[in-house]
Parts: sequence; C-alpha cells; structure tokens
Amino acid sequence: MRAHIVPLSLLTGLALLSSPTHAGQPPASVRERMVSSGIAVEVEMRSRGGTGAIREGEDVDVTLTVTDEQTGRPITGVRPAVWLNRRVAQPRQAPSCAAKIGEFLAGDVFTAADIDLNTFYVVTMNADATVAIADPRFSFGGSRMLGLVKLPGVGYDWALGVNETRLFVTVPTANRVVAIDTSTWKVVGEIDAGAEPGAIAAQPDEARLWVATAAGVSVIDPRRLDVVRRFSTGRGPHRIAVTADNRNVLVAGEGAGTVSIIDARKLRRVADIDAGGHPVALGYSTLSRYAYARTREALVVIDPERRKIVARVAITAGEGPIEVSPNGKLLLVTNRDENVVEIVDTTTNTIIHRMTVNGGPEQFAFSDNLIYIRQERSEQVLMVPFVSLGTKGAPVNAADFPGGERPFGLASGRVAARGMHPVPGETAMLVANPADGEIYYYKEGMAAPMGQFSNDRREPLAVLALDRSMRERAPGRFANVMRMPLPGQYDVAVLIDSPRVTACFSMDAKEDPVLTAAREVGAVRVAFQRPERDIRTGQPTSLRFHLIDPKTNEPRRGISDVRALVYLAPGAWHTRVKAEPTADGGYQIDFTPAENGVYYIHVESASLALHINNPQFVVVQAIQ
Amino acid sequence: MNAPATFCAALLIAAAAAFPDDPTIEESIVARGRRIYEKGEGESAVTARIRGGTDVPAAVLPCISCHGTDGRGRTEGGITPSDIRYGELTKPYEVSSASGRRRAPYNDALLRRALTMGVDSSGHRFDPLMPRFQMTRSDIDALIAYLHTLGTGAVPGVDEKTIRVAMLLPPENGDAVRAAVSASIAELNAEGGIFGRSIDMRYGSAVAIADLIRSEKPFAVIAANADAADAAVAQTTRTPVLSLYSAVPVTAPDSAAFVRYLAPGVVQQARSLARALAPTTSGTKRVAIIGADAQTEAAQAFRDVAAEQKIEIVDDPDDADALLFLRTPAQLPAVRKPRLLFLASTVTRATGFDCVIALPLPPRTGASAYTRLALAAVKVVAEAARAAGRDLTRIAFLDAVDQMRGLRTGFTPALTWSSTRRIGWMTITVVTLSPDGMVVEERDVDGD
Repeated sequence: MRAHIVPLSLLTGLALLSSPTHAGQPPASVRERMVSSGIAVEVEMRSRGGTGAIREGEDVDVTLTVTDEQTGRPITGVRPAVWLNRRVAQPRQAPSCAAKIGEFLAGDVFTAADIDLNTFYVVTMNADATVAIADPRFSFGGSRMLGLVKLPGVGYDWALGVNETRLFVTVPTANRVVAIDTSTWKVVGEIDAGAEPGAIAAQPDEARLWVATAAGVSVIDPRRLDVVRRFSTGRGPHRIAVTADNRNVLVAGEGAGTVSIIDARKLRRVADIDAGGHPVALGYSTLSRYAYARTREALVVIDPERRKIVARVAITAGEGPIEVSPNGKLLLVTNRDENVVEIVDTTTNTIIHRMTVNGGPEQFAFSDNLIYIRQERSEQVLMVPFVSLGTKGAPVNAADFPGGERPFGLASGRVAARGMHPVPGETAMLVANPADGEIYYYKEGMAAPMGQFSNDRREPLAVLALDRSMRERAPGRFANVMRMPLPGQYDVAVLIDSPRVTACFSMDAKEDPVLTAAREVGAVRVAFQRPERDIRTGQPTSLRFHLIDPKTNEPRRGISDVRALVYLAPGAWHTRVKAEPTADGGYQIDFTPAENGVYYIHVESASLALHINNPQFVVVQAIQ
Repeated sequence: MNAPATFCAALLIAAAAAFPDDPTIEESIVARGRRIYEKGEGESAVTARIRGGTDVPAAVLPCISCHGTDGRGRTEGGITPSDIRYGELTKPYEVSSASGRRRAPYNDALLRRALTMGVDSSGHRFDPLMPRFQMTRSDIDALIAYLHTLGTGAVPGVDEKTIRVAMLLPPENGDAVRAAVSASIAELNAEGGIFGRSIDMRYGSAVAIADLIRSEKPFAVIAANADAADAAVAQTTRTPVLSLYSAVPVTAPDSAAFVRYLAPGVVQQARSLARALAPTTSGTKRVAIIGADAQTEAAQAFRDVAAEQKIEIVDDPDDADALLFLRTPAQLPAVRKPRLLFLASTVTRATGFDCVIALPLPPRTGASAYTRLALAAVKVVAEAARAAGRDLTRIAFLDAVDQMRGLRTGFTPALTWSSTRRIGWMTITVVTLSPDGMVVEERDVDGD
C-alpha cells in the first residue's frame, strides 16, 4: 500500500515521524503518526475482518490517539474530525491538506466525503414496517438514504446496544426482536423473546437487554442474540425500568397491578409489590434511585434495594405516560384526560408545578436546557427551560415552535419509541411528524425548524439520531468504526480543531472478490468534480466528471456518446452539450450560463445505458 | 444520634474482651488492607512498577490516588480509572469497558493476578497508567479483603432518615445565627427534606473543629471561620467543611480537598481596593501601607495590582494620597486628610476621613453578615445533597459543590466553585464613605 502524507503546505511544524511503506497487499492495519506544535496524533485503521488486509465491506476500527509529545500524557476533550474520500482519478494537482479539510467542512455537493466520521444519522421507525437510515445533510437541503431495513411487522420500541453497533427493534405483531447492525444496516438476527415483545431497555452496562412480553419480561444477550431467561410476572401490558447500578430490573404489570423486582445478577424474581392500582407507566431516577409506578390516582415510589414502597404521591386522576428528566431531578406526569403535566421533584416527592397543555401532552424529549413536549391534537411543540422549574408553585412559561403542519396524534399507530430526539453535539432537536411524513430539524432559539427532510413518503412513528462522530473511549483515545463502501485508494483527512492539527494521508481498501461478484451491476456512476472557480453568468464554464464502472470501479474512458443537458431552473432555458474526453480518463463539458440562477446538469450516454432522467445530477449556481 | 455509635463501640469492646482473638483479627486484616489501599503501606515493602519499568514505593501511587475513597474511580485529568468496588468487579457476566474491550468476572485469584501482573480477568494488558504491584501474599490478601468492603460502608452522618451536619457558630451573634439556621432547617425538613432524609443540625460554639467532628460525627461541617489548621483536620477526617469566611482561605486544591469557602478573603479584598483606586478616576497616585507585616499576602496582592494601575507605593504616610490599613489603627493620623483604605477586618468605626472599605459581602440592613452567610451555607448543603442524589457520599457531595455555577442563595452573591476554585465568589463590594460616615458610592469590583 501507499501510505504517504500529502504536503501540508499551510501548516507549520508538522513532521511525519514514521511513514510505513509496504508493497503489495494492503496490510491489516494502517498507522500514521504526526506531531504538530507539541501534540502527537497517531491514527490507526485496523481491519476486524481477519483476512490480513483492509478490504471493502469489512469493519475497520479507526483509532486516534492524541498525546503530549513531550510527556506522552493523553490530551483529552478535543474533538477530532475524520473524513475519507475515495479517489476516482489521480488529481492533476493535489489540493493541500488544509484546503481539502476546508472543503469537507464547507460540505457541499462536490465534496461530501464518501465516509464522514463526524456526522449523525437519522433513523426512523416507520408505519410501513421499515426502519430507514438517512444522512440528513440538513445544510445541503434534502437527504441521502443510507439504508432501509424491512421488519416482519411495524416496530414498537427500540434500544441501542453493544456500543451502538446494534439497534434492537421490537415487533409485537411478529413476536420478534429484530437486531440491526448499525454500520451495514442489515438484520443480523431475529430473536424470539416471547409473545408480543413491547417495551425494550438496555442495562446501563449494556450487558443485557430486557424486553417486555405478553407474559412478563425476557432477557436478551445483545452479542449472542439469544434469550438468557424468561420471566412470567402476571398480566400486562408490561413496562420496564433498569436501575443505574444494573442490579435490579423492575417490571410493572398493568393487568396484574404489581411491580415485580428482578435481581439482574442472579436472574431471579425477588419481589412482587402490590401497586394498589393498575400501573400504566414506570420510570426510574438515577438521582433518587427510586422507581416510580404510575396508577390512575397515584405515583407509587419504590425503593428497588429495600424492595418496598417508600411513598405514594397523589396526582390528578387520569391516564398517560410519565418520564424522568435525564438528570433524575424531575418526574413529568402526563394526564391526557385533563390536559395537564404535573412536575414532581424527586428530592421531596412533591408536585412542584402543574402545567396545562391544551393539545394533550403526549411525549417528552430533553436537551441540556429544555424540556420538549409534543402534543396530540396540535403540531406545536412546547419547550420549558429547566431553569424556570424548581420553585414550588411558580407558573411554568413555555415557548413553542411548529413541528410541522399536522397534529402529531394523526399517526396511524402509537409506539413506545420516541418521536423526538436530541441532535448529538448540538443544541438542536429532531422532530418526527408522522402525518407530514417529514423529519424536522429544530435549532434552539429559532422560531421554526431550520431544516427538514422527507422520509421518502414514509410515515415516521419514531426517530433516533445516531452519533457517528469519533468518541473518546479512553483518555486521549478516540474511536469509531467505518466500512469502506468500495475498493480503491482513499484520501484520509484528519482535523483537530483546538489545538489545531491537520493531517492527510492515503490508504487502500482491497477488493473483496465475493462482494465484487455479488455486487449488483447498476448504472454507471457519474462522479462530478468541483468547478475550478466560481461559475459566472455570461462566461464560458467547464465542468469535469468521471464515469465510473460499477463493476470494476474504474473510470470508463473514451466513450464517444457522452452528452449533458444543462438547464436553468425551473426550465426557462436549456442547452445540450457534447462531453469531450480529458487526459485523466474523464470528461468535460463547456457551456455559458445565460443568466443568474440555479442550473441543473444531467449526463447521458446511450452506450452506457445512462439515460437523461437518471438521478445523478449536480446543481450549480451562476452569479454575475 | 450518638447513642447507636456509642452503643456499637461498647459492644465491640465487650466482644473483644469475651473473644480476644476472632473479631480483632478479622478487623485487622481489613484495616491493613485499607492502609495499603490508602497509603501504599503494607507489612512488608509494597512497590509499584510504573510505565517504563521503573519501581517506586507504592506510597507514591497508592490505589486511592486514582480509584478514590469509594473505589468508583472518578474521572480526573481526562482519565477514568476503573470502578473497583467488589460488586462491580465480580458481576456474574462479561462486561465491556468504554473502549469496547470485554472481560470476564473477577475472583480473588484473578484479582491477585491483575494487581501483580497487570492483566485483567480475561488476560488483556491494563492501560500503562495502572502500575503493577509487588507485595507479599499476606499483604495482597489484606488488600483484597479490604476491596471486598470498599464502597459498601455506611457514610458517616448519613442514615435512612437523616443527614447530620454540624455548625461551628461565629464568636459574635452566635445565638442569632443559630436561631436563623434552625428556622431555615425546620422549613427545609417540613417540605420533605432531601430524598426522604431530614437535616439534623448540631451546633458548636467556641470548640475546635476537630472536637466538633469527634463529638457529633457529622457528614459535613459548616464553620464560621476555618483556618489552615481546620482545613488540615477536614482532610484527615475526610469531612467536608464549608467555611463562611476566612481571612486567608487555603486555596491550593491539594491542601483544601475537603474545605470550600463562601466569601473571599483579604487577598481578594486588597486586589479590589487597588483596582477601585485607578488614578484616573480617584486621583490617588501614592499609597502608603500601614501594617504590611500583619497581612503579608494582602500587602503583596495590593502591591501587584497597584503596579498595574500605576499607583506608587510610598513608605512615608505624609507623602501618600491614601493610606491602606492592614492592621486596625490604634490612632488615626491627624495631620492631613488623605483617604483611608480598609479591608473588612480592619475598620472599626466612623473615621472622620474619606474612607474606602473593601467588603467581602455587600452590606445590607437587617440580618448580620454571618447570619446571611450561614443561611447561604445551609442552601449550599441542601443543593449539593440534592445534586449528589440519594446515594449520598462525601466525595459525591464535594463533587456537587464543585459543579455549582452561579447558585443563587438570596443572601449572598451567586456562588460558583470548581475543581480548582475554592472560594464561592470573587466580587468585593467597595464602599466609599464621607468623613461623616455617609455612603458616597458602593460598587462591585473583581477581586480575583
């Protein structure tokens, strides 16, 4: 393989200490070490495949170790960013590393990286019995679908496991828990956990998953994908809560009127507590270390260690879910009958606020600063700042924003998985609007969502933002997993913002003959290159692209019937131009934009079966 | 609350007399293990082999320095040591670390191997930051016996129903402070207390802090004035101490690990005075310091900031535009009429001069400064106990104090502590009085 550092012209003091060069087969790992202004950065890419090489389609562990060069002490709290782009052709003039990173940061249609290890994906649970995964690209407008998983029925609840490498979805109608790999988005297992699997919860230490079933609860090993134990706890539906120390699991049985406690280490049922009513919801506070079962008239406070009820808090009679704030301080009790939310201070077990939610409180989500409340009969999402809560009896002031056009309750079904999810690393919230079929991106402080994407006409019942950025797994050690989509040579760009360190190198991914043989021979791929300068109205413009063979992943050279249709949106002006071959195996079209505006460029070639209406096109803007 | 402890102690003595061997031997193994865990001292020499193969005495790197008093391993400097409480180590299933590495449950044999060979229960090599220890079989057995008990012990001063706090009252107005605090505690307890526990406040007056801790066995102490010796007592007894005021707070994080101050001290007061005297606004160009030897830290702090302000420090009071008193003046100068500058502790009465005073707490009519500080301290205790959760420990309590950012008490400026900041606020109220004692100006000046 070729592992070299692209000259880092804009950087000072960056020295390459070791640059292993190998010949022949790509090794099972690539290691690069850079030192800049006293900071040592070591990048390691190691294949998990065990084939002795980094190959397409296999998981590759990406590890970044950031240390003080002098002392060797880890440097923590930095936010490294990593991009990989597959090289289509040798660039005539390699851009500097800093310039490349600048392009990735700007993030436009020409420079969207093939592998972006700094982003988050939007995962939706849909009414058509699918789970869809999209790279939201809110800043570009539109989205990119990354995967679609067909479930044996409509999902009901979900939980991430095994360091977020697996997503477990319960499908009650099919009596299955479906395990999905979050890097390939393929189903890796369907588990028969018992009839009607509903709510699902992972232990905080991720060792086990607990799934509510018609009979009680089942325990799943998230790695081996098998059922460890089944418990019958009486009539359901059942709700689950796992204690912060992983020692106890509480199972509320609505029909049975009990809360059972299971010793999670010995896997033994140790108590059945009479809830004094039918528990319709269950919560747990990491702060008070109590569980809270909600019956029609009361909140039953249970100490899981002493296995007994420690308090009973009277609430306004009614139905609805409850939720504990992430810091464990507040317990939110919805009442759909009375359209109120009662807020309980878990320190004192007293109701400190009572808030009217006219549209019917339905679901909560939390950011660092705000509580988000979705409403059943309204499209407005309410927001309550945490700082405004705490003084008993003080009025609660809520702000709102429109989370779409139609009320949230117009969904075709109600699921336990949430329809709102905070965006990792941002003060922003994703809001799924089922009836709109849209996912909205709301940035805190704004009057309305800043972006949205259509969920491919699917009705999103629940949404999840899956962090795909580098995670600090140990002091100064940042890790991620990636999968090379195609074989070939990749340019790797690494950025640490503060202290600023940038580095680029390249690595190879070997072809997997099995994948190659099995790869669907689809359409020729059009790989557009960024125009060399801004496109100016009235001035001749060139645009270059390569046509990539889907089987060989090599450019198709010298095709004679390549043409392009260039039109000004919304179709006021258009021109058809012939594409001329370029020296690097690509093609070039020349045209002159007639007026200011947005131009769509479609490429066609009859001999390559590339039709004019193929979905691969670019959009450029011409200005004076 | 003393009765059960005394009763237990009596029982232990009785048991030891009846069975001279068994209980005390059992006790001594755990105690020996604790000494290794906390101090690195075994019956024989214990050495730690650190990264690079260097051997150092384990006393330099005892277990407690990374894994903490409770064995949970708090993140510090970006490093998160493992939670080594026995229950966590021996969970009956495979667990994964944050890095995704998995390990089997430990048993005592695997623990011995881990401590001496540096590999975990599944044979993975430890992070190089974890030393390998060399010690005798007898010592390692003692250490493991202690690990069995680690983090499971009762927290001093805390039981299911109460959190016991002791307050060392100020020498003046002690009764008024006590009355105000009692009322505040009664209200807090009436509102449901903290996770079902009420605060049981004990009071001490004119006693040493060590004696108060010994007699009341509190979870935490609120002290009117904790000096350096008191901070050391807090450290050795591992008792959190909230000090309302100290002229010279101990701020080095190592020596003040268990003490937190509310109000700023004389160093902050001196700095703020120098800042308030900027020559452009006050006309002050030369200052003489009276009694610099009485408060050397304050004198130095004043000199440092004065130099930045282009204020000259002169020796002869007759040459000065202003006199800074670091010692309570027995007699005020009578010849000229310069401005007189005081720290909170040195002003005693109306002076008949233009006078500038640095106050650690903004003056308010009504409750005395100590009463207000004490009520604020009660609020801090309650807030920290809430934030630490029902699983209350002293370490979690101090962590919660250090997480406070701008806590409003209603009695003092907003309070902020951090892992490196030991004083609750740094703003000094600088009050200018006319010769007849009228307030001419009152403003807040940064004393940091």
